[in-house]
Amino acid sequence: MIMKFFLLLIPVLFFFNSLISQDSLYRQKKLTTLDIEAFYSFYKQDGNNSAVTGGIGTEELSVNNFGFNFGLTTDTSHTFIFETYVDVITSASVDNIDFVKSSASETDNHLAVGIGYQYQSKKSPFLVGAKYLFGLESDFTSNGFNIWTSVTSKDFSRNLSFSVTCFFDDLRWGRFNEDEGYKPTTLIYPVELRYRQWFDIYRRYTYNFNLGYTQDVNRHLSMQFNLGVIVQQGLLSTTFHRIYFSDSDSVVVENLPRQRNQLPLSIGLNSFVTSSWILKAYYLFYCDNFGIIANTFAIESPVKLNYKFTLYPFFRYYLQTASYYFKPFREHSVHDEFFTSDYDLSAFSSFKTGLGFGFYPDSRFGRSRWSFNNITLRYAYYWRTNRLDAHMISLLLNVAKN
Amino acid sequence: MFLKFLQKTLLLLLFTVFLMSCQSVKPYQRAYLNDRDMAFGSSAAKSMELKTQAYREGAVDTGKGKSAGGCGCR
Repeated sequence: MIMKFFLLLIPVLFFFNSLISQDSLYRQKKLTTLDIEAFYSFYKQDGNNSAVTGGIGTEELSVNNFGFNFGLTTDTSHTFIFETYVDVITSASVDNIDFVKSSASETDNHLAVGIGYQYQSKKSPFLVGAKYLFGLESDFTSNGFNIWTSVTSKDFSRNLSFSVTCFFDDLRWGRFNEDEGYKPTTLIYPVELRYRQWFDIYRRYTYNFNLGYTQDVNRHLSMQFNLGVIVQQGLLSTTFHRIYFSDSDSVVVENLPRQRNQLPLSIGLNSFVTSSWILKAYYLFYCDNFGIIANTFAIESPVKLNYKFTLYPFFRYYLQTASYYFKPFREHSVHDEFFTSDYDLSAFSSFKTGLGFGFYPDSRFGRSRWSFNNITLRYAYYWRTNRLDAHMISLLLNVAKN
Repeated sequence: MFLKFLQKTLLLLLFTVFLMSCQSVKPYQRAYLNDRDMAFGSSAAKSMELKTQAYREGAVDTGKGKSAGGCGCR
């Protein structure tokens, strides 16, 4: 019996000795992860209530969208963020700004860039980040920033977050025009209304505050509440939208109040219904001082076919009341102080439905440190009761380097 | 007016009921909660849909409002 004990003890002693020996060879290594997302989307819409021509006329428009998101995380705490995308926009309605078919106003390009940094503490459940935002279009320059912070409970079941996003926009045109010296010089009005300056301001300011709370209800169910407050000030009209009156033959430019206060409130519930089926329900309530009250109901239901393939069917219903300042073509009075015939601010319901497909191989490229994480293809059909409809198809590719 | 009051009350009730019924979830029980498809928020694959909704509708979503400018619309 004693012999058996010693026979067992010897290999145990060797085992612990090897552990002690390895300590002297141990080197702490900081982990670095580079995460890259590349995406492409195509959007095509059509309708018959263009605000450029006073609430009637084609709204045919197509957008090709290309973009990349980079996230470099070092030591699991520091994340450097770079995001960019380009929209190439072709619009038949915007072509009617000067009533010249296939003129320079038919196509436009929009560039957006975001550069940021996020810090996540290892010792406390605290996270903070900031991002600079830039947007550029022929008739638009936007500079902005986004700051966010969040704190998570020790058992990871609760999270409280707060973010602030501000934009400072210049709505003048001329940046892509050689005749203007590639400088913003003027607001763009409909061609027949350029005999005067309709607005003496050209800037718009947007301040967006959001408070979020996430709570795990049980092992299968999680919920999130979000409360937002958005204040916009400055030139809120779209300067190339026309207004026609019922009691006058004159044509003017759209005119909206100089401040808009918006309040969105949302709740989301995500739940595993079975081991491979998730139900994600979402409700948003919105109101603002333009008189718009809106409700959104959305459901997305990921179905995991296996650990690599997932289907994402979804459906969204949206309902909004009209703005105080909206009237259709030739229904405004010349005595109104504010007026718009933009059907985006009218009363309507909208439906969006579609299907996404996700492939998650989570596999490495040979012996390299690169891994192929995810490819997602998504199609959505959008339809409004005032007869605007749109098709969207998106492709996302995600790779990472460890 | 009554509809608005009803919506606000319903949201508050849902919030209270869920908070009261919350269970403590231990780290080793978080397999479902940590699933990638259980995360809140949107992936880049939905970015075009979110932009469309922001431009073509009067409402703005929480935390997903206007991104870096563009389009001069609202």
